[in-house]
Amino acid sequence: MKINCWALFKLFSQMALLGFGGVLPFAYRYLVERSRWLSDSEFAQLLSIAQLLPGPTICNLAVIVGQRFAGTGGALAALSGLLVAPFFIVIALGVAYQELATSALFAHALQGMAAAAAGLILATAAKLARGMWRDDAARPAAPAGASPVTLPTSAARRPMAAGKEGRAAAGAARQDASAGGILADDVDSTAGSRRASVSSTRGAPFAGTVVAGDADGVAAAGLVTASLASGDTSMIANLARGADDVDGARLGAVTSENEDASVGPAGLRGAGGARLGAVSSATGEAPVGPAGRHGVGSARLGAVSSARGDASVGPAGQRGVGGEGEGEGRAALLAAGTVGEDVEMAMKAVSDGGAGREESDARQAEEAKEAKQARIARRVTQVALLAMAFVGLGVLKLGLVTVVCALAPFGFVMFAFVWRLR
Amino acid sequence: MSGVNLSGLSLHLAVLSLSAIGGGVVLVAPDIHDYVAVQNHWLTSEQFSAVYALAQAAPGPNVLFITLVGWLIAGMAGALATTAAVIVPSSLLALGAAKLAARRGRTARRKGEGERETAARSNRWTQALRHALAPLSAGMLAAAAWSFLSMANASVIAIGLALLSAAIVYGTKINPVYLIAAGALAGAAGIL
Repeated sequence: MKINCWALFKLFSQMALLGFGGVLPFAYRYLVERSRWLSDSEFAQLLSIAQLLPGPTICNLAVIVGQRFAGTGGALAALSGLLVAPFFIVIALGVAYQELATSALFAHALQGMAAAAAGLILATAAKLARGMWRDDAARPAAPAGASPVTLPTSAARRPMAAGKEGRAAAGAARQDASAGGILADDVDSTAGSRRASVSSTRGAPFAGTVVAGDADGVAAAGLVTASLASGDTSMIANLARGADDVDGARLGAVTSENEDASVGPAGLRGAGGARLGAVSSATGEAPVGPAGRHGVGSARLGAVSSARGDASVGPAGQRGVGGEGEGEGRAALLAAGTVGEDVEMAMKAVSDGGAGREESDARQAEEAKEAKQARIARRVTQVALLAMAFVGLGVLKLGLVTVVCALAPFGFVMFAFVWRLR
Repeated sequence: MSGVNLSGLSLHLAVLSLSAIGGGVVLVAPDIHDYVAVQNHWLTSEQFSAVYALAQAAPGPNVLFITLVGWLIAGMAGALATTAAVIVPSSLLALGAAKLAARRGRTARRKGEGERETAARSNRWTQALRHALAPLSAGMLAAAAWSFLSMANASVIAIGLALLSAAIVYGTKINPVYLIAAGALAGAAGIL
């Protein structure tokens, strides 16, 4: 999207002039809600970059947004829109301040204002602390094996870039995503039953990354059929799921003629039944990830077959059993027809999914324990960092540069390597 | 007002602005106060905290308190110099980062890398950085609030007022400018 510099200047001027006591809330209102230049998640992403960069956050945001829509000129336009009018208003206040400085009443009022302003800084500190607390609590416990990428809710709103050079990035079922080897047909969003078939003839990693499920996450990620004729298919249909779906998230048939046909978790947080249908691979492996990881309802695995390679099946209804889930998780139907060597994996999957209720419970308890310990350790680190920063800057008066240089690397190492963030 | 070394002041502010990571320029307000009021006596501490409060009450980015600092020290030239010193270097850095990110996005697309793969890869480091900086910012902001109160020689009642307004802003969604106004009224009424 291209937006001209004048529009950028005008919008940023408007939000700056309304922004008594801080512009950021107005930036959200104008950029996301009113102009719709950015989606919710785009705004959050750009804002976190703006915060990480040094200098005033709102100015960094203006530069980044301006650059994104209209290059360097846009950055300049947005920044000057933000600053020019308020600059003169502030100067006018300065003149008034110099005129009135001798008045005792005015001096007293200013003292009161200064106290309130200090309170505002304190509130910002408290909100930041609250944010980091919640941020930490919201992070899901580490799943074994696969590392699902959290899906932005806006992803299904727009069809993502379609594949050039044989790559089919992602298709939203509701959209007409006909380009780049993505076909979405027979869409019926009202009934929750949907059908989208994805195929790529030239083969590329993301061919089967089908994100079906609408923006509100209410409807089901219906029936997804992914097939790939050839090529590097290590990630074919890797993530077909209905994240945060309320209805059932299902995965249909996944077939690969030449390579692996691996399937990632389905119905990651689906409240309804999460099911995996038939997965078959003519020559390669056909592993299937867990179905219905946080599913509340039943989680099932269908038929898995591999003509020559492994046909492993992961646990079904990992958390669907007790604990977080309220319903029952079971591998209701599992027929693994393996012509090749490894039948063991498939059989293990039967016990994992079907009879493995106790095992699943035990594993879940263990995972929860580990997650709890890690969370406590992270929080101790956070509180220690907070306290050291306060003491270093406020009591010992070491100066900001010293404090940041001394503590930031420590924190970074702790969070990047010790607590292994995902 | 003569005898102010504007280029020295600008350089100092630019360095401070570039070191304000993760919480805005208010983090370096105590350092700026130290430089202009304690070391150089261009302003008094009362003036500095008053100027910060005034800028909070005005529309626009709160960072423009630095404009007022410059204005009081050396008039219009001072205002322009201090504002540019705080805004320009960090903005250039942000521009460079934005351009770099755009170019990397294009390269990744050419290589056939999915948008989400790129995002997931960079996400981990950004997240670690954010997790490391959030407690630092919170602690340093608290320290900044503390030094604002101490630089204005705040009375016990003023500290109470600050805590009260902090609690209100923390707990509600009220626009902070109303609290500044309430603070002004309380001050004018002679409570402090």
